[in-house]
Amino acid sequence: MQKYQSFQCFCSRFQCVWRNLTTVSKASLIVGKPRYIDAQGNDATQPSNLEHVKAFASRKPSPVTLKRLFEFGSDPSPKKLLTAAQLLHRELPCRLARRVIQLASLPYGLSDMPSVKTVKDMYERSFLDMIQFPKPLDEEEELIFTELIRRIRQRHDNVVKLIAKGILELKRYCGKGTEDISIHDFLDRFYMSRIGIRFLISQHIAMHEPREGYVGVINARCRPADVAEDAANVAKSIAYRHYGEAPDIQLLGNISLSFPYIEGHLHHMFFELLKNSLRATIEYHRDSDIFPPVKIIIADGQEDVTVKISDEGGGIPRSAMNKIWTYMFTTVDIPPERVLEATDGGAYKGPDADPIAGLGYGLPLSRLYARYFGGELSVMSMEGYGTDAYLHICKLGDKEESLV
Amino acid sequence: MWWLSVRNRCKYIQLFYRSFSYGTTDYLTVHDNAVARYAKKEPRKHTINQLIQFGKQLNEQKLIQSARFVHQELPVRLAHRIIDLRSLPYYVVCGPIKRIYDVYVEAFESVRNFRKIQDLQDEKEFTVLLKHLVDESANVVELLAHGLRLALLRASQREHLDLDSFVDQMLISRIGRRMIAEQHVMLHESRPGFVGVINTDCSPQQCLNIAYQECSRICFRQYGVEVPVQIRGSVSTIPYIPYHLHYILLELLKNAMRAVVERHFTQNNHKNSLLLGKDSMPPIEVLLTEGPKQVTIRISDQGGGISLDILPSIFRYGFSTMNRLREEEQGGEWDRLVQRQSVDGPMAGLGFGLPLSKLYAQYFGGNLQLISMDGYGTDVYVHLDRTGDVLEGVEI
Repeated sequence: MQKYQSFQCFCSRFQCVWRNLTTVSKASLIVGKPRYIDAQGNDATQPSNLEHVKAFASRKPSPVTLKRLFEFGSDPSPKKLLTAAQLLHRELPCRLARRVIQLASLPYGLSDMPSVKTVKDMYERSFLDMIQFPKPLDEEEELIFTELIRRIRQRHDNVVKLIAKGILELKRYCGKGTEDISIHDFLDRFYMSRIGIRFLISQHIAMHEPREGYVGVINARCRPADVAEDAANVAKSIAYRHYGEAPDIQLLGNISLSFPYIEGHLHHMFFELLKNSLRATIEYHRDSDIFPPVKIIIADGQEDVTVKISDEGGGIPRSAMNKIWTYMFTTVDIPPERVLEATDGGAYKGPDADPIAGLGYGLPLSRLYARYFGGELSVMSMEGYGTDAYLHICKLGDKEESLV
Repeated sequence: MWWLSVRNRCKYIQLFYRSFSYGTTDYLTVHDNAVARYAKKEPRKHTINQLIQFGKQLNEQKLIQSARFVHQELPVRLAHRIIDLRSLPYYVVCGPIKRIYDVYVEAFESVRNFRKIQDLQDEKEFTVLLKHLVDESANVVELLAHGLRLALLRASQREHLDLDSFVDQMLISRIGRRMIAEQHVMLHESRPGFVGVINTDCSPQQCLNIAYQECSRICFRQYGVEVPVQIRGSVSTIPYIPYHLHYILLELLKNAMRAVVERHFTQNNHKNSLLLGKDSMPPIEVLLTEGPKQVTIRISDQGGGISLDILPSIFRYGFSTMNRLREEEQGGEWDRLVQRQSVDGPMAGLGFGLPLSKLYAQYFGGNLQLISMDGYGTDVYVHLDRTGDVLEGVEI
């Protein structure tokens, strides 16, 4: 009897140890999965892994609506968290696998660029981590799962910059760049998917750290006026640092409007647009004493909310209008080696902040954020006067994620 | 076919549609061939500057040259439309559409059968013919609108019918043909600053003021109030056709004023309009700006915007937020009060105003864009090319 009890004790202790190992090391302990080392001595895709990737990639991802996530996530009990984790456990491999396939089949040899290969390997590693982790069945496993996805998110922090680097590498290699439609298309789809994956991961992690008035990263009473004011302050401080002065930013319209939305996304979009407006205004009115203010008008519609950001920064020349949505449309020529250093001066610092920037990605990425839950971003320019940016956001939360 | 009676004409058209693949009488076969011949040619397009250059120093020779050009060109453009009309599904062809067909065929025959223009006498008679044709086809837009409505009613049981690109093509061609014809006719008049219908120094500001005044009058007659309009910015003059610009601005200001007044009424529970002062309504802001190649006019109202369910339809033909016209009924209250029939139809209710304005803007290289802020108001941007070097026409 004693021996049996001590054996049991040993077993349960072993189980504890087992569970507390990180998932990655667990994967390496799994018996029966030979590791495949290629000629360079690196881990490479085992043929069977490729089949796994294809199998998951052929599944259709399931889009959610903001409303569902919001309703589901209010009052997160451990049981709810477990259900959420299980749903994510099903969903994420599919989305990650699709990215792996996409990254391996890019046009013009983009897939062979070293930085792109790095990103593809990253996605593959994350995919393997996910499928090798067994479906979480209790609270403890759910916690480890959450830790796993947190690590995955962190691993992928620099993806945008790495892809940008990859595209610059391609430019040097064969001259093709983001003005090419298939590359632009790839970027749109890839980044949109990334927004979705990161959002779902952040949402789940944030549900473990409940904040007053928030459901995960969704602010239940998100006030565009407040977010705009925050973004405005950050943008203005950057302008002061750079130019020593900054125009006023006025808030008009429905200031008290609030609805559930992802604050981080909204902040990103406002920050980008205000940054552009401020810079344009300062540079266009360089020689005058006063700057015309940048105006933000908030309109509350029946189904959607429109925020208009107007500046008198001289407008965008007609010849440049169709280029403003091109990735990396900037007048700065950054060599690939320096890409990873670019920063945007540190904007949003919330729990789901995305450390990207300064690469001429502001407008196209902001549009993706807007479109993610069924909204839109339009920019109208009046040459010689200024620019109006219109942000439409669905406030009912009943639009599905935009999936590719 | 203009010498035939209406009934005989209809009979022939019915025969056309029933026996499409083979001619029925010798005349029709000949006519068919002529249309086919002309339809094979492509229209010859010009830029505003080319038209100005041509018409600047007029002499006998140039007038005859111009007449010859119109003589050749109009049948080509008409032939394309006649073919289009014939290609419509048979159930679309009703009274109004048949009438348009008649008008076009008549115009085609009378122009192409006109004798070769050799001297000033020929040219003079040809100009008279052109004037007559322009008058004859004055109500084509209205006919098109009614025809479209009837067609949609008939088609509703069958299939989803999308005639928008057909109507687009008809209207684009009409803008061009009328421009060519009127240009030639007006070459006979010498107005300072004008070459034909083109004002070499067209001031968008002035056009705006005229449109604003007219619109204000209409608005006052309809609603008993005036909506304040603030005009800011200034632009230099451009070579343009004032009628086109006028049509666009009138349409947009009319929409803006109506939106503001109706929203105001709703917000103030339809109080007596006399109590609503001009100052209590948010003004319509019009901004004029220019770049090296374009002049842009932005018309911003705070009329509450356009709700999302209506938004996709506002550039479609036949969609009107006025009382939907029934077959028998003609026009809404706004219409009757206005009693304004322009060559482009009555002022409201047809559902053609906005898409037609867009075509006018695009015809010489401009554009019209609309952004709605539901719950606040609408911004419309009109871009006009100021170089004068863009070829006429719209690609659809």
